[in-house]
Amino acid sequence: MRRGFLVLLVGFCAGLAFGKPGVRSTLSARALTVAAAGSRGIFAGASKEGGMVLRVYGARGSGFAVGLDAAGSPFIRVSGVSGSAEGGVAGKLSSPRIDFRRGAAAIMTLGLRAGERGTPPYLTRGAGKDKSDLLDR
Amino acid sequence: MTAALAGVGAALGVQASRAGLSFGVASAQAQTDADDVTRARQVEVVDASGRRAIIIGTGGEGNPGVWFYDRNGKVRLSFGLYGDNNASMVLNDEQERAVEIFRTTGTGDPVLVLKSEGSDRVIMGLKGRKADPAFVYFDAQGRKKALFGDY
Repeated sequence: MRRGFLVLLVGFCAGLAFGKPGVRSTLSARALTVAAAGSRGIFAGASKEGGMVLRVYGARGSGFAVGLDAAGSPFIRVSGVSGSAEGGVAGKLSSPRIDFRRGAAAIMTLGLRAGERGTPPYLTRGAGKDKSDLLDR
Repeated sequence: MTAALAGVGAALGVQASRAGLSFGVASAQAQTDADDVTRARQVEVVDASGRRAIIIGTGGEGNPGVWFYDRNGKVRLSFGLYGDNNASMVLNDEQERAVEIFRTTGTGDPVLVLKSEGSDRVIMGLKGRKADPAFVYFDAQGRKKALFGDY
């Protein structure tokens, strides 16, 4: 009886060790990384700012990031090929606003005035003194 | 008899392995090993306290998607495919109501919608067979205005 159990146990362990892993129902981890050859690929996990982020890395720091900031607000950010955080042709979506940026300046913005009655939309172009709203209030 | 018992044990072990049981420490720890392909019905990224933060999986219609959860367990950001295969990217407010929707409709026309408290406030995109651009919005009094085109 005891020997039979031992044989069964050894067989079970062998099967466990050499069995081909199948599709797991849930894979849970603190971070997920998909590494492409020669680059960082994709990362999902905690951001340096205290939120959660999914980043897709491109060449020289460009790429795509979606996630929640430390306050829980969602964002989507596309970085240009220059490698700066929002350089080149870039866009940033945050609730409820979309910025089209070149370098640090937003040169066109579409959004809602969340703090005003009726949350009127705005569409601005230009920066600083040249900034103008294209929509009627 | 011995061989039969060993065979039964091995079969059980293989099944357990396929079910995800392994000799290693299980989930919620950072994995440093690299597999060419890891297959799962659902991938869950948890925060430092073990709370669900990101889900990569499929929705009710079997459609693939990614969902981000805030600290209150509300979905604040999602992107993926609808059941009809149209793509979407949705930002939600703290009550889980959509405030920005970027998606395709019908045969793939792109549409961007800004919403406030559940109501559409800005709709822009391309529409119809000729993909005509359109931009309509609702002013502070709720009147619909078209900058160009119509929705």
